[in-house]
Amino acid sequence: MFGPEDLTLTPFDAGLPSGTGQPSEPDLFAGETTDMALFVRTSDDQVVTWNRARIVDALVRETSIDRATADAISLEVERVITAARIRKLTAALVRELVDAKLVEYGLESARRKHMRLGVPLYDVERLILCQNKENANIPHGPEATNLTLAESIKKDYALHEVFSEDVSDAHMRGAIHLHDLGFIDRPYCSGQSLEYVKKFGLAMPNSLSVARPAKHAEVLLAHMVKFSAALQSHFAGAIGWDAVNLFFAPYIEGMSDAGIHQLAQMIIFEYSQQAVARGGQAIFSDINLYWEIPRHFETVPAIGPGGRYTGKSYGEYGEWARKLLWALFDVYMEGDGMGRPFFFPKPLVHITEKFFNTPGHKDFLTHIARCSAKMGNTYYVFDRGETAKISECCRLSFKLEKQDFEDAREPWKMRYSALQNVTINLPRIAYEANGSESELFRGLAERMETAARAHMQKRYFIERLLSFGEDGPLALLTMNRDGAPYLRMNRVSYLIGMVGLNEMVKVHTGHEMHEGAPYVKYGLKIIAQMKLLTERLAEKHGMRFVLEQTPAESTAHRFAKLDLRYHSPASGHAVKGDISRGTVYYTNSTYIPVSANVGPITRVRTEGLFHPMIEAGSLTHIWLGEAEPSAESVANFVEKIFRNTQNDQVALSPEFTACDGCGKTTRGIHESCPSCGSGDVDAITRITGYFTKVSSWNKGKLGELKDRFRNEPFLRKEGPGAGYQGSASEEQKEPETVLAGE
Amino acid sequence: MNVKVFVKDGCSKCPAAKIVAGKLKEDGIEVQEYSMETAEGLAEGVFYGVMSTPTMMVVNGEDEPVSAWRGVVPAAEEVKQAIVH
Repeated sequence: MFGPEDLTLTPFDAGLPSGTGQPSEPDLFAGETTDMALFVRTSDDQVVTWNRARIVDALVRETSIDRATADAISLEVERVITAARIRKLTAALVRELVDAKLVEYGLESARRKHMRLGVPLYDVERLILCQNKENANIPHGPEATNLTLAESIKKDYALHEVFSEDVSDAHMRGAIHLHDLGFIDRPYCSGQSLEYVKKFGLAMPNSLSVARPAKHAEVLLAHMVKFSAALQSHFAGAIGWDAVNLFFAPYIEGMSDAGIHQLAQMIIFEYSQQAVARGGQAIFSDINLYWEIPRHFETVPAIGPGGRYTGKSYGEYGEWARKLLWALFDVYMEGDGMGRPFFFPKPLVHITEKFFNTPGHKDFLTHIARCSAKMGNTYYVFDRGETAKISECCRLSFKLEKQDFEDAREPWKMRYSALQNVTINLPRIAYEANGSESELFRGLAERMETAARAHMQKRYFIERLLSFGEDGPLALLTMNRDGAPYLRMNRVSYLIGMVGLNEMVKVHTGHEMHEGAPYVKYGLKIIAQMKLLTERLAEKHGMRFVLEQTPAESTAHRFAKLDLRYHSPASGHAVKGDISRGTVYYTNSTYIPVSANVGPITRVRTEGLFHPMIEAGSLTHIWLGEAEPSAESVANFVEKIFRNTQNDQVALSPEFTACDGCGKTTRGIHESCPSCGSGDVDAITRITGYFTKVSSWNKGKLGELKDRFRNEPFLRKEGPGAGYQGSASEEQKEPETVLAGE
Repeated sequence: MNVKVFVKDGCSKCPAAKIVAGKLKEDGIEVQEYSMETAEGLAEGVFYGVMSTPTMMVVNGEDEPVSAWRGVVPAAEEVKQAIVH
């Protein structure tokens, strides 16, 4: 089906000398072919003479219908073409005419097998001229256009060939969303250890050259970035790296402070300027960072220059790991050449009990809190108790289990992947349930089953691709350097996400979640049911299904639009945004509405209630707007979150205006540059889980941005009642608190 | 004031917690029992930060916890005293 219009390509079919084609009965129809002077333009840039037998052969080969029926169809098509006096006959048009005949004959199944995948001329021109806003991390340019065009064909292929009709229909109707259909032949995302590159160097299948393990920090970085790019071309989403500052440490022992700062600068710029990779898209990169030495690495032998053991354990590299970590945040704080925040790599700092027992933690927390307040880069990942995890993407995380801690003895083995992400449209279920709780839970179970089927179908497809080994399309993922393929299919996760819990609760109960404890509890009950269903499905199918807070950058908009079409007027009262402008959206995942007038501690606490049930990752956003709270108050806030809530991850998001006229970056979003007045400005802030230019956002996210409740009065540096001090009176400052906290 | 009890199948101390709950009920105290293996129970447990079973909790009229025993089973008298105070 994927060949370049193979309907018309065999030498026999094209009227060319035979011998290389594979016609089963080459002479059968030769005498019947019309001798009209008709030429067909094929998709491999040839013009060939008309030969009706090629239709017959293609139908028999591709659809398995009987030759007599194929012959009858080809004759009818030939008559249509002759009567229409078509001047420019293309293979694509012939195929469409044949498909129309298959419909007339009632041969729908044959038509599906014979159909052509492609993009209308009109759409191609629009794609070339206008930016694709489905993913704000894709710029506009020839590479991006290539990516979008390829994605559109693969998406069609996936919906017709990879997934069953019921699953595809559920996606197309907007009951569920199958993410990254355009990357159907790749897993979703990958998290790994730098130790793999340190130990094995760069020796990838299909590489033009092989590099031995790096001997210098700069070379190690080059290997890391190149390997990230290779992974980006084999995974749909994020590429995450574990404990980066720790694993670099053996390479920087003895380096001057200036040298370490230079290396930190190189790490950040190398990733943030990778907008030359796949489709012109920067690698969605995450670096996990630790102030302390994670307990599971303390006694692990360290690998140093040349891939050789240094004779020390990682527990002895704390000083150098911390120096690099501090320097990384110095660089984040400076911003890029225009003072803008770096978009990638995202720094994920793990906050653990051991963090608070590690010397210098207080100063470091203030350091990264300052960066949070000023530039917004810092992500605080809270690992409480014995929990350890590796995080990536917008909020995805892989919690380490017993086998993972055993792998930690040989950290290059630590690599994690989610194969696919399927999101459930929760408000849709509430519209369909029409107030009946039993129907609501029945609908939820039915959608979860559909999501599980989608995962099984994707797994089957990927396993098929992997079966070709190092000669196949996923060669990189089958490379075996340590006794196991790079992608360990027996260890992958299958993500089930959700969008619009808040609107589901509103449709069912008449209230949004932030309006009172009963409504938060109802939301918790829905997610609890999803968690229990996920566990049952995992047991039933032997697959690791886990809940994730879907980033839903475009899905929240898509679901809202489709529900306005199919479930009006009820949906008109539930969707967020401005219906008249089309900037509609649902609240992401389990969040309380972005517009809710609640203070940061209430938001962190309320949203954090859901996090223990969402194993594969959660995040709470604090929208700062123009406010720049003091580093001390943010640090205090972070410690309180760790101690007093169940929240998994928090990020503070300021807003910026970058002027292309004068090159200055100013706090807040402005229509023109406050410094020089130029209108040539870019607004920058965090979209679903990463910084980007607002001009690349889709309509739904623009609607959300307009609605965001900025916590400015609460977090402003100065002014009455300002600054989170972690005092006992926090609930008095936030009378809208809905929680009965401990 | 009422008492919430959170239990789970296969938890070794949960039968003892259920016995205490039964005694409290006999004494006319309102007791709500939640299984962490149901959506309702898990949601309620998560709302009150229940991380281990059994957990017993005394909550006031505004649904705020005033006393809690996590992973341990108090005597019925101990719970009653918490209610009084």
